[in-house]
Amino acid sequence: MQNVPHPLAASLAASLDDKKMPDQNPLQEEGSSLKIPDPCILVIFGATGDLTSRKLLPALYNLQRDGQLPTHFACVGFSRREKSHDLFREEMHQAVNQFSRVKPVESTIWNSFSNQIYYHISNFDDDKGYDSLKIFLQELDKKHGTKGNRLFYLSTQPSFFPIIIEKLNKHGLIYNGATTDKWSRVIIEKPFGHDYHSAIELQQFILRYLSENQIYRIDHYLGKETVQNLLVFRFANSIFEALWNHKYIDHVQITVAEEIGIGTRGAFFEEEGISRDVVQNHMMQLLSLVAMEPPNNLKADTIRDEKVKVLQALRPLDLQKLSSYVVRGQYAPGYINGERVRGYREEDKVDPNSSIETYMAMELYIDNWRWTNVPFYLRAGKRLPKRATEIAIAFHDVPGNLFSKQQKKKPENNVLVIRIQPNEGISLKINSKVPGPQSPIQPVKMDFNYSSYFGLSPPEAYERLICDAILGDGTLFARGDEVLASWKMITPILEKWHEIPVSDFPNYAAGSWGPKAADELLQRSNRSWRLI
Amino acid sequence: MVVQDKSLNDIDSKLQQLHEGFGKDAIRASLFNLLIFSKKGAKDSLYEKLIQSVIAKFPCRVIWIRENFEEKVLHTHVKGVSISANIFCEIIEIEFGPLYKDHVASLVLPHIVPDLPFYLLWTEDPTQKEPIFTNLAPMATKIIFDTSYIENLHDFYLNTLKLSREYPGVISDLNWSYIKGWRHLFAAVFNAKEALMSLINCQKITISYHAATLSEMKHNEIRAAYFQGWLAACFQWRFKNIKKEKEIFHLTYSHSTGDLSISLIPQSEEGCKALPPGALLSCEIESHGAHFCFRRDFSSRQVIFQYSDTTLCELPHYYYLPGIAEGQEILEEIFYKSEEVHYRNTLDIVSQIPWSAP
Repeated sequence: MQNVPHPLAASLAASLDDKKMPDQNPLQEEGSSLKIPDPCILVIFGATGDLTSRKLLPALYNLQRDGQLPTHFACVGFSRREKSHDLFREEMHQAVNQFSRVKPVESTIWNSFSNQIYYHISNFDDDKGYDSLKIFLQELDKKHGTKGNRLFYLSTQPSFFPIIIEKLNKHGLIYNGATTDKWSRVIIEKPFGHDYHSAIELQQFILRYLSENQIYRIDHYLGKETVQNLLVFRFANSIFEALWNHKYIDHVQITVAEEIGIGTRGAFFEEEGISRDVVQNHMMQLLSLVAMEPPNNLKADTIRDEKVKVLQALRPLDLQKLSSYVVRGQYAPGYINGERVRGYREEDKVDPNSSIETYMAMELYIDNWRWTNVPFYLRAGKRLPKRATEIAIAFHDVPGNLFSKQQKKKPENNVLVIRIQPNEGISLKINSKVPGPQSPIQPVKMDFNYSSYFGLSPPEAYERLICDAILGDGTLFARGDEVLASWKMITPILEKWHEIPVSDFPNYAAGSWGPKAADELLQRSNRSWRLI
Repeated sequence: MVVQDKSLNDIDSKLQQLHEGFGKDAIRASLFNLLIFSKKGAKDSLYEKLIQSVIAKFPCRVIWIRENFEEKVLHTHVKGVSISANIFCEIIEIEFGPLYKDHVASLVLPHIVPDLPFYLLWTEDPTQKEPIFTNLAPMATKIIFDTSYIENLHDFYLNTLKLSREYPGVISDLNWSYIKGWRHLFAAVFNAKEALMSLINCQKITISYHAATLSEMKHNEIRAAYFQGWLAACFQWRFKNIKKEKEIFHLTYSHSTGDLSISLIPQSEEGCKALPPGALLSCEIESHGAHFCFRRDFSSRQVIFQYSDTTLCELPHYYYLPGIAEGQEILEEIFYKSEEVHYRNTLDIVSQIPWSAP
């Protein structure tokens, strides 16, 4: 019986004969783990903030639990508050107990994992703090075998990004990957800049110290299983791609609706508005994934190239007729799930005369062969009736009306809905005959529900994203040109709004689906928003 | 909720009644078809646990065929298992006496959900010609064996290599998936050049495994055998000889720098009672002064790894084996491996070894 040739047999045989090293590890198997994560240290700046306790440490714990962190790994929290290693570990233990996706937290796993968690006290602009960090990390390299590889997570206010990166570079904590056998990467949270010009400035500043492939801009939507499934759905199913163009699609609706208000984030939201908080990043990502061309391969840059092309093909808005294409809104008091809620201007830390938008709707066009004259309707809002993020592909009506004898009204158009959250799944609205003679035609739904098939909760977005950053895979992170392209589209709108004072805020009641003007956006072309 | 109904051969109508019992709005979920063939006996509880474990994670249609030597019967049962408030999946059980062997495939085929993958878990010896296997195996997306209960492993290994050419479905073994965590650990630890060379040219490997057995189990050394066979296949060590002394297998291989001895040692320790029979407990590697030690922590899924040599003794590192709780190993085989070059090459190595005649 002949042995099936090992894929690396020739290379291995040659290397053993020459006593050289094989190019690839023959122990690595194709399938579930294509890449082994390198040893590394993750340093979290802003470790005492909400994100670390609610998302990052629970994500790390679950990655450790699933054996997906490197064998040689350590995590260092960096913040100015006085704390010992043990106190930080205890706080993170409580956070993981509360926020981990999988409970209960296994004490045997946590007890050994917590020995890999440390805390470093310093201000973000303190040179001594970075010097001592460097020494500390080198000690951890010896203790944990992390080989000098560094992943820095900037979980801070955006205003701190430049100073942190500058200091990291100044103190030799980040290095040019091309010249050493160790790597350093920086994960940056959104928002990346405040508008197009500030984003360019930030990008240019960062590129002085880091190359683009060392920068990992997080948009946590990209870490969601349902968002990743968009590529699989489109490109692993031949039937849909044939229909995915202007010949068959009438319009596309993308909705990011939240029933919650701004909570305790009043101060933050007054600076951002929904346009910067959601539309510029999450919605543009969804738009580009829905509209992109099939990539040639699944390499990070190949996919991101196609996404950027979509954003670059967006038709610039006529700023003189902006209100015809873009609607902004702000919620007034109303009712959510039967409970009375405050209006935006009554929320904590919000200016009683605020002109910040909590709702935005747009009609966009992509000027390329695939999407000629197909409107993309985007809406995002706070205090809408329910939480729902979905993409609805509305197909053209059937030509004529073959069933006019059964009913005067044409059959409803087919709609393919991709539910991102909650109730993750995909449904297709089709028309069916109601049993009986002379019966009308009734729309019905073919439904695929994630939880029906895949049971247990999928990994959290941050688990996937941290894992990919350690592996050096940038596919699920926004590239610089992507971010700039989306800012380029949004910024003129923001600047125009700045010029034109609002006269009708608040203009929708909490618990309604937004301002009337958003409905009119579609009604003028005989369309309407989906009732979700 | 479990709704159980018994009937003779009338699977269709019983499925219909089951659906009605769950209500009009209930969703019948089925990600794939899982067909299990076993002989009725002490292993039943093991496979029940396996089925529950699979369904809990991925709803599927299960068809469980059990041969009952003691009865001249053909029973069919249909059960529904609630996954959540509105979702259920079905388990079809077929129990048959030897007289009905030829009938079984015709009972099964109409109830394989079309367009979905079909996984065949064959827990008996495939070298014994079975018409059910002959009828169903060609249609399977994947055939998974459970070698723990097969008498003649050597014949099994040779037969499986042959089967892998005859049948389009990928072939695997639950015991192979059980050691996935250890394979992954080794790939991660020996990912640096120096460490890999140490392993390739090592002089001695000692693998200990849990010595417990279950009723009807024929072999508990398979995982250890697969693990050393995998290493030998990856590095093209050449098998020289095997001997068995007091239940310990001693194998000798040769490589470019000399001979290598591998010992497979069964161990019974108080702490490892919770682990399944045959589970790998430790692996120690000696290579020209370097010593790699991997020890399973009995109370958790951790493996503690420590390296030392003549000048250095590293602190231990902790590695977490993936959640291959009992019953979940089949999920690994179903969902996460489609390329089985490593398994086939391992089979090739272990099939060369006269396990029963040292």
